[in-house]
Order: sequence, then structure tokens, then C-alpha cells
Amino acid sequence: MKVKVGIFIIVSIFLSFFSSTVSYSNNISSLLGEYAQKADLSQKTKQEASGHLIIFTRTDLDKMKIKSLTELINYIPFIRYSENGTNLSDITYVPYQYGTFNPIVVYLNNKEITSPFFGGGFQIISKMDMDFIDHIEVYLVVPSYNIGLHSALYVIKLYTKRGYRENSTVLGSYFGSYGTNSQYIYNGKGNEDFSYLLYINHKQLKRKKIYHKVKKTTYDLSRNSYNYDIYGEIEKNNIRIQGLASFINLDNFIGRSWDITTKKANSKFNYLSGLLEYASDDKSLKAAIDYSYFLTKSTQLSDGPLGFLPIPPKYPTYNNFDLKLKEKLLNANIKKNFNSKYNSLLFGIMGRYKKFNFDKYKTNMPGMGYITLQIPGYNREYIYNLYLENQYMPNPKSIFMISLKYEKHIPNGGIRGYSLFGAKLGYIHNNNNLTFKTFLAYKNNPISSYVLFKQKALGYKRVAKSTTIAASSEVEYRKNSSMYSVLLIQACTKNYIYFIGNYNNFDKIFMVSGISLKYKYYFDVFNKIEINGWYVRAHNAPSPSTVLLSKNAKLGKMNVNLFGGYISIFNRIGKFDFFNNLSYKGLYNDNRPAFNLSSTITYNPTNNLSIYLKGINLFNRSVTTDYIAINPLTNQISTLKNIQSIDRSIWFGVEYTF
Amino acid sequence: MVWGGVYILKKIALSTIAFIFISIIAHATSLYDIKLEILSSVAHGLLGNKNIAIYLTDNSFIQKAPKKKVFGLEFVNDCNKADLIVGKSFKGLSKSCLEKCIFATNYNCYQQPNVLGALFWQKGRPVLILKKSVVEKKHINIGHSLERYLQ
Repeated sequence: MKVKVGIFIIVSIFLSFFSSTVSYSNNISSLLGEYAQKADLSQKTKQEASGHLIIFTRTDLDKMKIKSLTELINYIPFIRYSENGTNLSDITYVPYQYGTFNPIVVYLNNKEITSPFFGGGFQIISKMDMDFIDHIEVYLVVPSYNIGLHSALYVIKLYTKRGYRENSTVLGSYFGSYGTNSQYIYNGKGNEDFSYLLYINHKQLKRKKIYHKVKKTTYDLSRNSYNYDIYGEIEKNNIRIQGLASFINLDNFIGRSWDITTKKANSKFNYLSGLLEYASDDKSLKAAIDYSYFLTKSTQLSDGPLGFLPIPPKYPTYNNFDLKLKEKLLNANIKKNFNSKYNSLLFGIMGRYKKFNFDKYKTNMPGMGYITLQIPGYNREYIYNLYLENQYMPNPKSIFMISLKYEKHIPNGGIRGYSLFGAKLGYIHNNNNLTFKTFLAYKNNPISSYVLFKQKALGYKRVAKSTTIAASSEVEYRKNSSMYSVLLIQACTKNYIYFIGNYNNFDKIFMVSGISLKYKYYFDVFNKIEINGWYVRAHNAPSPSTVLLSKNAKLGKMNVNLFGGYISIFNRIGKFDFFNNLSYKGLYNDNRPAFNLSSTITYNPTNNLSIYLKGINLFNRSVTTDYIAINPLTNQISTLKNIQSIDRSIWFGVEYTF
Repeated sequence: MVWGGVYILKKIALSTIAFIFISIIAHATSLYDIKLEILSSVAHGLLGNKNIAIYLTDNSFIQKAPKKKVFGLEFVNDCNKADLIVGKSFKGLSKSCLEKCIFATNYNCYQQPNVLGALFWQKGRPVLILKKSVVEKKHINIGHSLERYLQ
């Protein structure tokens, strides 16, 4: 294995550097390449004025052979990919913390992907194959309400392939390390007046097994997942309809075991969603209605306890549970742009209804039989949102903007409603060589239904909403074939919500400051190099894990330094495409620095056939995470350290177009 | 020996500068100009190095035909005066015009028997195809640069 990996690395890097100096193509081929770049769909969808933007074009994604969002996180500054103890993607995960804050909001075209109960969309879609995705836009640091209405530090917009750009049927498959395999087919046809796309996928993501030994028993903690996805869309003149059905079978790794003695932890998710949207001819009026249905079935069994029943004085523990959760979300919004020569005013309203029901939440207690666990009356919420955004353009090079948002949350079950307010100021200057953007944003963050539910179920007081103020500035300078950029961010959060037995508001101001530097050089349309380096510092971060480990009753604070960066090289030589990326992440505390080398070699013998070999984490040194489980009744702590969220893998794939 | 090395280094340096310069020129071009350049390369590859008269049946590919001659192309309003007819639909063209060289700019039109070639989107990238049967039927000696697009 090591020899194969070594040969793969050397051949790939050698060929890619070699090709960057000798590659050439004939005139029409170069023109077609440039045409593809300039007419890329991202040129139609990107909204430069809406925030700090990173674009992964169709060409980039094709060369990188990015298969899921989990891989993409590697190329976004200030974050690192990690997974929580239940094998769900969670970029803010620190030991013992579960989903208190969702910094990423994901959209599939204009449909927000979200779980009404847990709040995070990234977790639903992060491991899904992305062969139906055309390009991806990532907006950093509280983007404009025109992009996403919900408070987030990152908005990831996935734009699907358009039928009129496909005019083909594509059949593909890949397989590789640990038995991972995927098969997909998509068909798209049409023109700009009418087009359709249909995509079907089956994926088995098999991961490296983690074994955990407790006394004489070894526990096999699985992180495998299986996906069946169907996506379809029809676009006719001013109307677009899209639907996504995703069936996920996920092994939950440690699950909720208090002492990492997990025998079985598995969840099945059925996610169905549909969107109907309308845009007027001049795009000044847009209206959309969407619906999501989410069914979760989860089963867990552990040798040790998973929870306790609120029956004093003994508080009996249970070691198994079955739950069935149904979530529904209905969303409608309408927005209108009023445009004049120097001004553009956007006004929008949105209404949202979400409902969740535990059809089953029970445990089998020895001597007591099946017991239904306590479920509070809280099971639905109405959300209303009103927003406006004004852009004033005194000249073609400058934009001044102001945005305001008001949002009202009305939950049932005796939980007090709350309001969220948001405001944003911005200035953008753009000329041929230079773009300068600066934004100042204030926002109240919503409290996830899961947090409200859990506090109510456990009888704890409701936490307060947290508030974030974020400032950011970016300068991008372009000269000839080079692009240089600097991004500075500063954000502080008051009442940050953290978990330690129950959810609490942190009494100190949690601050984050960061800088990201980027350089790109285009050798030609097929060959480029990208270098990115970033540093982020979190001041006064709450540190529940150190409290747990030191058994100190008082919550501490810590300062976290995180460094990161990467070099990516994209090359074409003849019928070969190469992508090589070396990324670095220096983490806090005792976790070792991560060096992640990813390489992809694609061979295109004909226009219809593509064969590729892809390696991820080839040095076997990706970011590691520590997991901590605690038995709150005995204060016994169990740990599982240095677990890689990205396995070293090699995949071989074929794609045929007809 | 040393001078030979210096000579090679100079060559490499000059080639690199030329390469970067070409890249700069290429990057400064607009989408509109690139489309015109592609059309010019195809037209000249098919019909030789003369000024070529183009008739556009619609504005789907070139949104606004240039009034002046560009890249050796002249845009005409009468298909009978054209050397090459370009568009996404050829309905309504006279019989004499349908016998001329026809180049399609969408996938569906490419299937029509009298179409010589097409530029359309497939699998998210622009694809250029020339029909060998039509090229041979019209006795066209295509340029070397277009040979790889014959099918």
C-alpha cells in the first residue's frame, strides 16, 4: 500500500510540474477552453457584491473530482473538517460539544437544506455525492440577505448542472479504499427555454474502522454510510421546479454512549424536498415555495449507559433506545427589486412553518419493559422574516449598501418566542485591477429547536439567543495573469451557547480574528496554481472539555490558534488532467499538525470517456479529533484520541458520456 | 558547453515571456470577442483565408453582429450573400441558402442532415464537431487545425 501510494504521489507531482512548463494546445482548443471559462454558469449566478466569495467552477470540480462537501472544506479558509461523535459533519466540533452553532448554511440552487429540528443543513448533504453539481459558491462572513436569509458565517451555494448545458447521458462509477463504491447516472437536455436534468446515485462510503478497547472487550465503531439520491429539475421559461430525495443509512460511530462501549449505533434518514420558483423576465420579482420532509429512525445499544430516566432518587440508566422523528418544513418567500439608475432596493418577506414529532422514543429497561422517554409538548414553530437591502451606486466603480432584517420565532409548547434582528453595512470599490470590499454586520443567531427541546425535556431554563458582530475587509488585486488577495475578519459573539450537561450561555465575549492571503496564477486556461495561507485566533473560547478533564466545576476559557494553507496546482498535458493539493493545518492543544496531500489524475482518451485515479490524505496525516464521553452520574470520563475525520483513500473511477 | 547552456536558458526565458504574454492577451479578451474568434477560426479553417461573409439566423450565439469587419468576418443581412450560415434554427431559409455551408450553435440542430458542423454545450463544456460526410460532399479542404474535430 505504502509503495503504491508513494509511486502515485511521485508520478502525479512530477507530471503536474512537468506539464506546467511544457503544456500547449492548438488555437481552437485554447479558445474553446477560454470560452468554457468565460461562459461558466458561475458567471451568471455569482453575486460579487453580496460578500466575500470563493468559486469552485465546473472545470475546477471536474479536475479535482470533488465527490462531497466534506472534501471541499479543505479549501475554505478559517475552518477545518471534523465530525462529531455521531459521525455527522460538524466543523465547529470540539470534544463533548454537539451542534450548538451552525456556522454553515447550505443551499441547493435556491433551496435551503436544513433540518427543522437540528438546524444544520451541512450535516444532511455533506457526504452526498456531487456529480450533479455544476459549480459551488462559498460566501464568507455573514453574506447579503439576497444570498441567504439565515444567519450564518458561511453560505455554501450548490448549483446543479443545467440540462441545456449537458445534452447527454452520463454513466459513472468509482470504487476504492475500504470497499467504497459509487454508481451514478444523469441525463440532461434542452435549451434555455426548456430543459431538464435527472440524476440517480447510489454510494457506499466505507471508512477505516476504529476499534476501542474497554477492559477485555473491543468495540468496533463504524463510520460507514450508504446513500441513495435522486435529484430532478425542470426549467421552463420563468418557472423552475426541483426535487431531491435522499435516503441515508449512517453508522453513528460512538453514538451517545457515556463510556464508549457502543455495540450498535445506526440512523436512517429519509429526506424529501421540493422547490417551485418563479422569476419575472427582468428577474426583478422572484417568488418561491418549498417543502421538506425528514424522517429519522435511530437505534442505539451500548454496554454502558446511554442516558437516564428522570425518576428520583435512583435515576435509573438505560443502555438502548429507538427513536423515530418526523420533521416537516414549509417555506414561502417573495422578493422584489426596485431598480433605478443609481439605486437598487430589494424588499422581501418570508414565512416558514416547521414541525417535528417523535413518533417513537423508547427504551427497553431490564425488568421494566419498554418505556417511552419523556417528550415535551414543544413540536412546532412559526418564523416570519422581513428584510430589505439597498445598494447605492454613485458611479460604476462604487457600491454603498445597507441591509436590515427582522425575524420572529413563535414556538409552541410553552416556550417563549423571540425576535432576531440583523443589520449590515458595506462598501465595494471595483475597477479593472482592484476590488475592495468591506462589511460590518450585526446579527442575532437563532436557537436551534434541538437546544430548546433538550432544555425543556431536561427541565433546565431556556438559553438566550447569541449575538454576533462581524467586520471584514478584502482587497483583491489582479494584474496580467496573477491575482492577489487579502481578507481580514473580526467577529465577536455574546451569549455563545455551549454544552456541559445542559446548554448554557457563555458569560464572556467569544472573539475570533483571522487573516487569509491568496495568490493565483494562470499559466493558461488549462493550467493554474493557487496558494492560500490563513491564520485564525479564537479568544475566550469556552472550554467545557478542559472542565470535564480537570473536574473543575468552573467553566474555563481558552485561546485557540489555528493555522492553515494550501498549494493547489491544476494542469493539463495532452489528454491528461492533473490536480495536486498539499494543505496544512496547525491545530490547537496537543493535536499534531495536519498535512493533507490530495491528487487526481484524469485521462480522457476520447470526448466521451474519462478515467481517473484520485488519492485523498495520501500522507495519512489529516486533521485529527479527540472524543470525550462522560458518565454524569459517576463523573467517569472515557476518551478516544487522534481520530482522523478524513481517511487515507485511493479511488479509481470511470465516466462515460453518450 | 557553458555557452550552450546559457543559450538554452535564454530560449527558455524568451519562450516563457512569450507564453505569459500570450496568456495575458488571452485573458484580456471578452466573451463576445472569444465567440467571434472561435467563429473566425472555424470559418477560416473550413473556407480558407479570405474574408468570409456570415449570415446569422438569430442572435443566440453572437448577440449583436459587428457592423465592421472583425477577425476576417463580415456579417451580412442576406443569406444569399453569405459564405457561411450560423444559428440555432434554419427554418424559413430559402432553398438556395440551405445548400450553403451551415453551422449550428445548438445541439438539436446539429442532427439536421445539411448541417456541416456545430458548436454546442455537452457535459458542461463547449463541443465543436464537424460532419465528415457533409465536408466530403461539399468537397471542402478543411484546415489542419480542424481535422481533430471531424466526426
